[in-house]
Amino acid sequence: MIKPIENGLNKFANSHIVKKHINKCIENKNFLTKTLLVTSVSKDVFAYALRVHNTMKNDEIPKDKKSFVAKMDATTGFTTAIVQVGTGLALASEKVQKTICKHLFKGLDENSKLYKQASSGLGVVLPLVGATLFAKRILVPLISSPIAGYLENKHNKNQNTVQN
Amino acid sequence: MKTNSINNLNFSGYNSTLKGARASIAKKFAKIDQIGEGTNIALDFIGKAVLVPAAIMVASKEPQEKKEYSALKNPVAALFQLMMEVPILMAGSNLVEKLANKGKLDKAGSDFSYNEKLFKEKFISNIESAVQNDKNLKETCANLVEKLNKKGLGKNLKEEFEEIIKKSAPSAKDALKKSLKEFDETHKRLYHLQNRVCFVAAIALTPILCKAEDYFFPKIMNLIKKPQKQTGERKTISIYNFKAQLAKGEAK
Repeated sequence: MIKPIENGLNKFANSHIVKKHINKCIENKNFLTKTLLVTSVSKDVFAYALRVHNTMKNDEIPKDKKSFVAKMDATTGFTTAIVQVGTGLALASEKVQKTICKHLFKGLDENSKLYKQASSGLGVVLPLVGATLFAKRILVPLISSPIAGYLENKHNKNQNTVQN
Repeated sequence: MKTNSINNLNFSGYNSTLKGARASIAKKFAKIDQIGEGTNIALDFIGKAVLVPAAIMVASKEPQEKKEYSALKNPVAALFQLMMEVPILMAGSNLVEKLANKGKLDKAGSDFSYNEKLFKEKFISNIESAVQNDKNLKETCANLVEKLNKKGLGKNLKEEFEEIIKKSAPSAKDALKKSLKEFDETHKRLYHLQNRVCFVAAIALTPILCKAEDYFFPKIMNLIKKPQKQTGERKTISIYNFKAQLAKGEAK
């Protein structure tokens, strides 16, 4: 059992892409943060895609509602991805980070070792905190609720037209 | 005049406290070196367990009882998610570490190694032999090696070793620097490999995790607070409604 896993991991760890990727993560902290942002978002997107797939395969949901439920899940997944990536990339920008550091560490000498190390540390976590906490948990519900309301109204109108 | 007296107030104490707080925040951020999937999982947990319930309690326009139930659902779901994700992360990391430290993940003839144990032992042996004639350095080095064995190589510990290297004999400096660099790079390589493997494992296991969540989560929520039947008169009320009624003198 362990041998095939061992061989698979060895191939994965020594592939050109993984080696290049790992070297870049070590050298460039901004790249590391963007990588973690992508992994976080892709887990969400995959989970939403799976939900859409399960809804379409679920025979317990009436046929006329199936596509609507799937559409709602797809919209929420899409909104989550776009808002998280947008916020994360905005916060990963050097200009934004410099401004935040200037305000947060006001009074510290900008050329000091502490200021430089703190700015670098903040730069690593800020995009993730912004995307995972602020964007995903506050912005997404604010944006997706009106979208869901709009889709629901549209769906109800269509249903009424069909019935009449 | 009053405006002048405000201008003359002494804010130096307040300013120095603020500066101190900023410096301590800066020190905390300065310690951050490498982050990985663990940080992602922790942030997701905080968001779901703390931010979402707080937002529901503050902003939702639903009835109080429904609001409380919705707010409670999220920390439970977050805890459930944590209980599924953390074991994957730990098991995946341990497996990769074990294989790497046995040299099973290294390719013959390549200098791109994941064998952290090998480079750690090499570095410890090099630095211990370099400082063996200096009593003070030897003692400091022994303490640092103990820390290294307990906590692993971190940013601060690396800087402390660098300080020892600076004070060591000139003939040994270059070799020690090279040895520390190799150890640090291998340590980071292994760390990032563990994170990527755990990410792939988490994606591969998502269908199972989703099914487990769909099956167990409603059962757990039913145990915590059974949904109320909406027919007939309501027999239970929320603590907030009860308090409001108590204030009005209506509660018995």
